[in-house]
Amino acid sequence: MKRLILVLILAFPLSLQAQSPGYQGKHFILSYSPDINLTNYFLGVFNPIPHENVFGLFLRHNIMAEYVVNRTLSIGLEYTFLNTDLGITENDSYQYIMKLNSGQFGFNFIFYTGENNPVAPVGNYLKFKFFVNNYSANVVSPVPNPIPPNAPNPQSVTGQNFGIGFGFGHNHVVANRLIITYGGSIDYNIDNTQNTTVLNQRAYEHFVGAYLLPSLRFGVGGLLF
Amino acid sequence: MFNLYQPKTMPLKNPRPFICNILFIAVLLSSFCAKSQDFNNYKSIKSSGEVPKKFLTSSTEKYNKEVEKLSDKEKKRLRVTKKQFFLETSFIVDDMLLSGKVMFNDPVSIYINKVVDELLKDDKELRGKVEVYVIKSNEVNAFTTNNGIIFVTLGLVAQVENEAELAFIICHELTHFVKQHNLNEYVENTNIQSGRGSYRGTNLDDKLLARSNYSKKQESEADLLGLERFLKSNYDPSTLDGVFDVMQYSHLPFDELPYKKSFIETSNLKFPNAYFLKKTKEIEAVGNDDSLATHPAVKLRREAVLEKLKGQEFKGRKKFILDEKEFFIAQKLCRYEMCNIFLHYREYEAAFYNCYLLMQDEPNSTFLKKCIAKSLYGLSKYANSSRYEEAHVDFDDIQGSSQRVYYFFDKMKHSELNVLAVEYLYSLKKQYPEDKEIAALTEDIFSELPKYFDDKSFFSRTNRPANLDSLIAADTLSKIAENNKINEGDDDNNKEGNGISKPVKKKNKYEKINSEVKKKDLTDKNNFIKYAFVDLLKDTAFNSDYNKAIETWTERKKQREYEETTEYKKAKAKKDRKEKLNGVALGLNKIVIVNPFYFKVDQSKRKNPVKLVASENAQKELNNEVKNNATLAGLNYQLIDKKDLKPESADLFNDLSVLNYYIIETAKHDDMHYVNYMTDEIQALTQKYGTNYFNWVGIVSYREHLAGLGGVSSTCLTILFPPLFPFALYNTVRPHYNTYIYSEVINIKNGTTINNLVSKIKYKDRLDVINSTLYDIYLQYKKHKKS
Repeated sequence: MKRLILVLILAFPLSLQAQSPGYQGKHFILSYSPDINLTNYFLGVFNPIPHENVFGLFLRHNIMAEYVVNRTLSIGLEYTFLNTDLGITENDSYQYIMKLNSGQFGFNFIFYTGENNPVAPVGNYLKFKFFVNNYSANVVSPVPNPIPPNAPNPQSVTGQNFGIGFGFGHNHVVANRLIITYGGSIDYNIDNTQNTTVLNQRAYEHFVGAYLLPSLRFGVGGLLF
Repeated sequence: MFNLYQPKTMPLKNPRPFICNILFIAVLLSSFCAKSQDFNNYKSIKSSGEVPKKFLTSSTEKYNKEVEKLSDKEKKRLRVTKKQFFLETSFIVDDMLLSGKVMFNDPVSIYINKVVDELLKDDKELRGKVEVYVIKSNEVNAFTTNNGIIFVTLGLVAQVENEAELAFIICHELTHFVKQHNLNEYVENTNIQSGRGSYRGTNLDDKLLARSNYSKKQESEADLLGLERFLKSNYDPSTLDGVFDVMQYSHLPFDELPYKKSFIETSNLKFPNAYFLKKTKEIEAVGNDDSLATHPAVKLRREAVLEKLKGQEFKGRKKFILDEKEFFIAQKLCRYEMCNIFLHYREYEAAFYNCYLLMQDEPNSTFLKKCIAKSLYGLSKYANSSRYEEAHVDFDDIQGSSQRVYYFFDKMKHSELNVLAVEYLYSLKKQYPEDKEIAALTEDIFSELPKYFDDKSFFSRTNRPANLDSLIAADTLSKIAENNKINEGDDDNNKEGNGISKPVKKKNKYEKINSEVKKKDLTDKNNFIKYAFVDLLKDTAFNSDYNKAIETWTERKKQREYEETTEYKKAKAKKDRKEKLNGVALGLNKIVIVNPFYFKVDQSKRKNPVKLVASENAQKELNNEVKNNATLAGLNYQLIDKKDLKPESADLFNDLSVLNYYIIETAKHDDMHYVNYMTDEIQALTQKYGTNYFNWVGIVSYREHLAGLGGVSSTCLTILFPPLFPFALYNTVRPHYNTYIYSEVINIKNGTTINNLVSKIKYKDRLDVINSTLYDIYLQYKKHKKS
């Protein structure tokens, strides 16, 4: 069923058979953008590990392939991955370091907005995303030592979930080839965790939290063909 | 560079003598052609020969050259004011030069330059600085720029009576140039406006008065110093009185001739006497009230000049130093050209009367007949589109004999006007069956006749009765009597002096209806317009064309009804949505891109919001981008631009002039289908460029003065969500831009706008935005519709 949906989604733009202008005839964009997650910066959910998360921020790396379908719409496939260490305080007395890894595959619909004549892929856009996450959260070591006697043993949790996202931003083409993009996004993970240990549950919540709040994006890309 | 206006003794410094010789011969030929102009088939006068240098140099270059001349010793404030003057005038004058309204090396300009040669034969240095060009305008005017260009309107040449009068006006303008009146007036006005020096603390009224007085002082100086120069020549000063007459009666046509009722009538189409004014409005001289005016009262100017001449004898002086014929040919050309100008400005009644005057000498001129046809066509089109007031001038505003023409068109019903236009045009079409312009006008106006008369049988096939006038008069009397009877039934009209109503029998409902029907029958029976086509109805082709017109009208009516249905509206909405997504597919094989324009406006600069130099530079870049994107889109195009003129591109200059007039006129007619008055010239252009499709494209980039409500509201939002404050603050203080990209494609052969696109972008005029939009536009023009 999932495959069928994916095929349908991919076939949709081709079925339009639009003779879109793109940017001077170029329709395909490959871009990279580091997404700066603001979760902890604003709300202090985690205790950041200073050498890993400068200024309390951490990055997700986003690679996206985008195809301009018509003057207002483009579709994109993106892969976003996260690999960071977070500190989790337990009972205000000791802290675990949790290694958080995730790889997110997303399918985007990007709508270019304009007063009356938008021409994708230049200008302001709104982005709607459907994604699937594969994640793992490993509690690797509690600090400080020694470990309190009642502390649970280090554990790990892996899983997969779906989610939806919303984004906005602006594309700027330089030298007719290079594309600079900036904007923001909010992702929402649909919780599908089963019964797990308290620590695993918390680790997962932190993971979800890392995606839920806004992130800022500033990326570069190329107009390939 | 070779220039026609250079004194003959000046050596030619031209690196391309061969081209120059050819151009020189071309100029001579054009001059010869002017003398042999066939007024029966008059062709609009055009520029010819080498394009003068002033038309080829960019405004920025001209501005920079003028600024270089400024002395460092001048006060900084004065330098700033002068720089601003040079900036504004360089661009304004260039706009005028390249507008298509100005002509060079045309027969009239050549003639006026000969007069200037005569006036300045002893002042070769000044002659080398002065250039004279003619403006296609019916205004009676001449003016000078600070860099020595004298513009003379066709209207002025049409109105002056002799060469000496023209020479005095040129002397007046030469003084303006020599004394740099424009620059001085600008500096003085800036001082007045800013309240500097002796103007400190003056109120608005005093400022206006000061400006007026300064300007009047300069005009008086130009009159008197101009007179001195004039007296050095051999022109006859006794003619000068006439110059002031020209000024005082410049609001009138070039002649005063009573309009005859019979002019437009045929044996069967005769209009009621009531349509013709018996006594026209008295003529009043203008220009005698000079309060707050830029020029002194004409009366005072006349007195001052005549006072200078008092007691002097001027024997042996001449009204014409050049060949008298040359003056009258130039004048006649101007008078003929005025017909086109009137048509361009939709002054159809003025064009009609102008033709009437010219037809006194050339009653069989095809050109004049066509102009009359175009005037009737224009009036009728505007009447049929319920926009008559745009084309018709109230007769009460007109003085003199021409008032009868305005009155005639005022009294005529729209249906009668349509009949008159069809009758005149169809008769003309029969006379000139090969003329495509007449055919197009006739077909278009004929197709609107069924709006009023969708049954051919309304029109009589028998001749107009000889006693129709008396019948109409009797009809009118009976109508008056009927009206009186009806009014007797009104209470207000029925009261006696003491306010008590008279006991009269009131008409009941059915008596009133029957009375109206009877009146209508009587009116139809005696309607003079039904005899309009007596002769034409004998013609099978006319009958067939009338049937075709009825069919066309019925189809249009059905189409209009269909456009009101939900089905059509749904289909249209669907089509619009599809077009928004994918654009249109015009499938054009070739287009001609005309004069791309670019305006950069900065509203934060209150005094001079238009960034002139930046706009000109951006326009040059735009030309490159237009070419790049049209090429990338695979479109076959040709870009013609007034800023790309070369010395040898007089033809291109003329083409751009025609296109400029065309687009301005098309804009005036708005969405009305209209056969352009320059159809012949337009057809020639479509053949020359190998396409019917011409594209006007341009950009306006606009910086707003303040962030506006958006910035303020986003700042307020930060109260609810403080972390957004930095973004809101940035949004409030950052400059806000809007960019508009315009593109319109017109099939100039049939006058249809096939695509009109205005792209509004809410940010700066970045190159990527311009490129993506231009590429999109040209791809839409190139794309073919799917079968």
